[in-house]
Amino acid sequence: MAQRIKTNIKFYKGLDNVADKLYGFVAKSNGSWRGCRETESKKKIVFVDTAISKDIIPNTLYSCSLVPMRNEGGFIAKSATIVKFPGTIATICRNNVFLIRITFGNKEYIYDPSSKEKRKNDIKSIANILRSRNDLENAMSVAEDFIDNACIVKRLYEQRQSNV
Amino acid sequence: MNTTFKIQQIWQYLGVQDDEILIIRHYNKSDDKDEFLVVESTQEGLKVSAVSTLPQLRADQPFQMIQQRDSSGKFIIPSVTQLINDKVSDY
Repeated sequence: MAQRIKTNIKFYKGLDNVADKLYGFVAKSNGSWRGCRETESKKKIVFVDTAISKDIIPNTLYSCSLVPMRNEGGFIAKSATIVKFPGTIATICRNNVFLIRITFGNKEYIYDPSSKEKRKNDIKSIANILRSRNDLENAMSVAEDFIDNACIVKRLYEQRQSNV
Repeated sequence: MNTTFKIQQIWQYLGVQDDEILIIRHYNKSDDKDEFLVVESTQEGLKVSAVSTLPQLRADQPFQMIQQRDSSGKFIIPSVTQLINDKVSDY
């Protein structure tokens, strides 16, 4: 029986202009296979078993179990579970800087009450995005925590503006 | 990894300045309640005090605050190593 490999991979859609075909890549690092970008040299391709492919969200990290293809040209992902990262909420209030960074994995959202951009200054929009993320652990609680912090930052920012 | 070391790492990771305070929200398992660790820079190093409510915050008092929940939803002191590893693994 072929040995199964456990690793984390992101999948993309549209290989060879076939819109629904999901694929990812792995490369050997320190003796074990790890998910990698397409630009990596000495990589092998990973396709998704058709039994699970309908549930896969492109560009999201999955914990997968892989089996080698018969021709050894790559691997097939037989199972895939979304990797959820803990959300970290970091608040800074210093001089004229009033902002919140919400990070999880390599994602970062910023709340900045002084920004002209809606994606940065709208508490409700940011909270909605956080609630909708599949890769954020305790997404609902993190969104509520963010709102609590954002209200504090907004109040302090407005306080500072009125004192200038 | 002990608490003091984790706090020192967070202080450096966030680039907290000496005139700022750092507030870390975390769950105190022995008391079964959330508390806030207030960290200040002193001549003797970082001074940590635990308070049960969020200190009063003012616009003229610079501060940084950090919080993270674990998989069970409890607030924990974030691990800087974990933050960096998560960033790298989510390629």
